[in-house]
Amino acid sequence: MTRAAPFLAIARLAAIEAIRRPVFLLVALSSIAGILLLPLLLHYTLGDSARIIRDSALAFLFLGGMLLGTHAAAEGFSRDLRRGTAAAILSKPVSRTGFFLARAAGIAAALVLFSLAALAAALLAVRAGASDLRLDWTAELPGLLALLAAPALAGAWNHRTRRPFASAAFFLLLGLLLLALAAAAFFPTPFDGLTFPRNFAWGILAVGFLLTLCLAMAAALAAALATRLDPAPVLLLCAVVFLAGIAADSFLGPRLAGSALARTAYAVLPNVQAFWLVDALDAGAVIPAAYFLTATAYAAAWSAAVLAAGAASFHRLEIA
Amino acid sequence: MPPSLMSAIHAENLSKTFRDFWHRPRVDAVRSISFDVPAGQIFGLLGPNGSGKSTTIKMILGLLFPTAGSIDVLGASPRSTAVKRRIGYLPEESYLYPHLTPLETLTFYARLFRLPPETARARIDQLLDMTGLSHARHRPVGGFSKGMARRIGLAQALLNDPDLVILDEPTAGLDPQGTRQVKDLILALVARGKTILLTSHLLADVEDVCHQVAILFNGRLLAQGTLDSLLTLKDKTTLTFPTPPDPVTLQRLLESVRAALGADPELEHPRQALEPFFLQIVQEAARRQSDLSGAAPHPPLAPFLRQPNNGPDAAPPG
Repeated sequence: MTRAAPFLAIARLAAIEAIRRPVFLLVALSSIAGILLLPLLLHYTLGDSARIIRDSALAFLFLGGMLLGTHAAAEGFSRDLRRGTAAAILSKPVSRTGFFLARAAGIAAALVLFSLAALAAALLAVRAGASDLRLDWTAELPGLLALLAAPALAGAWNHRTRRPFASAAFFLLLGLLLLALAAAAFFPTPFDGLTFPRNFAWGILAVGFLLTLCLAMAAALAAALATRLDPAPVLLLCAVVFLAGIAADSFLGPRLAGSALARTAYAVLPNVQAFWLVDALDAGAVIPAAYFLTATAYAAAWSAAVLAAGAASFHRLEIA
Repeated sequence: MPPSLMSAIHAENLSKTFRDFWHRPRVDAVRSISFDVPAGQIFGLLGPNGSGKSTTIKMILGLLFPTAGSIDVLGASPRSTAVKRRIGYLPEESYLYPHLTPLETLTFYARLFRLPPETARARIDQLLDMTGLSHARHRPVGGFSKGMARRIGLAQALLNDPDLVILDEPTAGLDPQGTRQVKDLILALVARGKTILLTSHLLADVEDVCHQVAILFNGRLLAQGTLDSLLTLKDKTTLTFPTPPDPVTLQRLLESVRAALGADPELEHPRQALEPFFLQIVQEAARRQSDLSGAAPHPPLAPFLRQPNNGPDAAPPG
């Protein structure tokens, strides 16, 4: 067995434990239901429905992911310490740094799965609401069916096997949404007759990828803070830091030239604006590959710095 | 030879003070204790609640850091992951992920030890048989009774065939058969050269298996030594012989003892211990009743725990 086996085992368990929490399913279902209902709610919007649905769907992805990532990282870590599972694992040949990083990687993996489900729903919703005048039911219906069938099938499976409902419902939702996407791909759009691959607005995936990087940064911050703080203050601090990150351009931008403090704060705060590139989709521009690389490198460096601080903090933590 | 090479655990002037948020001393949980756990022996750490037993164990496992003093475990720092490869630990509460089944739980821990898959599979099967939980291997452990959770905890502690086994209240929550099985297991492990450190409030269990004990109270070490050195009443002798056929013979015997020692002897009929008596009755009943559901009354020791001691599981290369 490879040296990575303990890391992978802990990461996998952290991801599964996060997904098995009822709150994860609740937020995931709410976010995806919100995305899929957008075309039904935002009709007849004077030619803006496609844009509003797209922006709102990405906002659902961002807010839902932010809540899931920070909650799973903070609450999961705190639960491991409180319940004694952290002590049991650290009495095995597992380094504290390895345990901490593996847990964070597991939460990131759970977030990626959520993003994948939300982006599949967003692609279906944007296509369903592309016209102001008529819904594209070939995209809307499979999405809604997936949303309804996942909890029902998971309930039946839980009744039969007594295995956890929440994780089954989430994995079924993800699988069924991908199936719905594949099914809708066979149908051309009803108004302009576009066929695969032009019958979906794939540009959403690019912005979704960048938002997922931002969510991973938030989860990393939550994991680092959870080494010393309870879940409630962790969630509060993450919200403050990321709200400050959203406002950093407008508040700190004009002061960068004259203030070292502003420059430091600007460098330390997560630059959330760099990941919200919905406007580029409006302009019909293609986001260059170099931008993705730079954004990925920035997210990786920021997360690595935060995780290094978290690992150092956890290294000195006494596990009573 | 330094003590750490002869002892599985060597603690010297070990202290632990818990502090509050402002770093002010809150509780002195352990106060300058020194002890050695000899390799290949069973060592009991005794004391009432709050005496510092669990804190000491957590320092031995590197989960808590001593405020003062030092501790060596198997000749190295307790924080070394190489040392932890050779330790098996059963916590006071069986810390388990409630959604995992026994099979998933043991597979998870086997991965932490990087056991080769075929070795892991074989040991997991043997340990599930030994703990009488083979029939429940696919049930989430969150629904287990305390005794069943304890058995899974015991199985995970033995998965790596450890050199040093630390058992925190190993018989808590177990029925008398389970308790006997754990004691037999402890004796079998020590016969293979393993070292056992255990804590228990059940002093009869400790007396049954331990070579040495240390008694803690309020963080201080009050007594330490072999059971013989601590418990033997050197000014008294018990002589056991068959019950005399008649009262006159007995009276003559008592008279001769009185004349020889100048003191009145105490006369009592020895009693057998309750535990073997209970187990004998239950086992006979189990033999008569063939349709038992639930755990096997006395499952066999896992075969890999009966093999000659080959030392700890070496990490596979790569």
